[in-house]
Amino acid sequence: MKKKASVGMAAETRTGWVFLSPAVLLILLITIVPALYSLWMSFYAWDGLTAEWRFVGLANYQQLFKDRILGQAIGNTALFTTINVVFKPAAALALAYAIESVSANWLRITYRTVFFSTSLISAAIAAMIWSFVYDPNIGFLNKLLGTSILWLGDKNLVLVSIATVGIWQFLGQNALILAAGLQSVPRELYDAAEMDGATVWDKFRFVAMPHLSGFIAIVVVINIINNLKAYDLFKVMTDGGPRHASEVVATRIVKVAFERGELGYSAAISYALLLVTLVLVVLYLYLTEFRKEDR
Amino acid sequence: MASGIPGTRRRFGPWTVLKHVILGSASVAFAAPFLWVIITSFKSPQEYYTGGFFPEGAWHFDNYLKAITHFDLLHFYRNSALMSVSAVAIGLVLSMMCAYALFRLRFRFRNVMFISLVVLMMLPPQLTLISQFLLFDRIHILYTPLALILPYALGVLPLGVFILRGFYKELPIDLDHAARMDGATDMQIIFLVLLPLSLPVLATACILTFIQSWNEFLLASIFVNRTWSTLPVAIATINTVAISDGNQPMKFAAVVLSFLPLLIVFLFMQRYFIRGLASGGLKG
Repeated sequence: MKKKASVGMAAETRTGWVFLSPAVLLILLITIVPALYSLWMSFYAWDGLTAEWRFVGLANYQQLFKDRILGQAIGNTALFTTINVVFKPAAALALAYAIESVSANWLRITYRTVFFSTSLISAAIAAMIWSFVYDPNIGFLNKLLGTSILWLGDKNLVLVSIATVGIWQFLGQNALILAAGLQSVPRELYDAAEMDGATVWDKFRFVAMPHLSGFIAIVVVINIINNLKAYDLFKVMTDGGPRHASEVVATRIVKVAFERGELGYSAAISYALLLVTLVLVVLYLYLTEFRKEDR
Repeated sequence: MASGIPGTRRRFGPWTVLKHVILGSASVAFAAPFLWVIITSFKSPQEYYTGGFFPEGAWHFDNYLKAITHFDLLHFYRNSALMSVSAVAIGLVLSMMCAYALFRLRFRFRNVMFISLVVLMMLPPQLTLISQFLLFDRIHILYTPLALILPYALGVLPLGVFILRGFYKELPIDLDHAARMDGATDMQIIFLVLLPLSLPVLATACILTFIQSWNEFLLASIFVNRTWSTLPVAIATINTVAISDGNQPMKFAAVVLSFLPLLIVFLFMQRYFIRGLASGGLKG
């Protein structure tokens, strides 16, 4: 009987492969083969135009540590990611808790809509809207404050200005994910806590928080991954300027490849970025999927 | 959907007042950039440089008509629609087949394949960007719609499978057995038995992946040229190119036209968005 079951499984696995094959083929063609090709390329010096591929071994990877502009881009990426990873989920949590505790249905839906609507638009469009808001002469922000600050032209300000746009765009989306977490908390727990005379803070800390840990982990890791590879905002708002003050790894990769024609080196930077991202992917899977499989 | 946190509704204390003040002013701050761009789009070219917050003279509604004709926006709407609709359609059909194999059959490598799929979602696009560029050039699809549709369809896949997963796992497996007993093939089970039942979750997946494809910028700015440019890239180009007659507000009319459709769709389908984010991404 047991043998028969495993025979059935083998047959179903075969059928499974048939239905997976179109997707697997597409993944091979569009992702795996290009990724391996990039890996191969990262060991060569090649300008993309000539047929000459010069094997340079690990030289491209060694250059990662010597490249001043890249060093600056890495620092900027780290700072931008940190701002987004530390501040955004914390603010989103407060926002989600505040919105979900609004009792009037229409008002709660209105709040959700307003805060979430910013994450619907393309990052490129958000970048344009904010370039206009930040405009030193006719921008909304300077008009409102009565100042003439160069929000995007000041090398000390530009990263914070762009990070603000990132927070504006995805705070509501993060809050909505956390709101889903808040809704998974059984109502009876709140009622019981209330009966015991719990304050708003007590209810947040001791009733809601324990249910939220998985959701918070997801929000944090999504932020790490998306902000490490952030490109659109930087490309449209400053293109890395002024003087590389807002250069990030993603914009650097594209410039190294398409402006300087160093395809091998650009591939090496991509792989370094992947390595950092992969560490976090493992973290993501550990925090969410593996834990749930155990239950 | 009911309030997530009961208990606070009965009281009306300082906390409630403070909360509404903060939420209210924060939502005004969040909406302000949108509102300002919308108001600016109605100004005259001179008022753009000199005026206050609101147009002092007449509101120039014709800026919109001018933007559509001057920038040939319909052309880019059509491109964006073509890319997004094809990518979502192809991606979701593939997702249904994958989800069937992984969660309706006793598939031996279920966990490995599912995790690979999730890892795929995390790969930075820069990693494959250049190789894809070269590959697409080699197989002669660079600068054609396929250069975007194929990667976008792949982008639909992880989210599609993720969202279907929760649903397929809960649906009784006897349904498939009964259908098979009646002589249905696997294909028929996927598209005649499971598909009609999963329409609500598919709607959610549809919306979320459509927006993702519609908004994509990096690949769209590199893999196609003006003929097949999508809306975000076209608008970004409009933003950088000087306008001959100096009508800047017209530019902002174009910006408004690019985000308005999605906002309207969202307003009407809000329920699906929230359910999708809640169930699709998170339910184990």
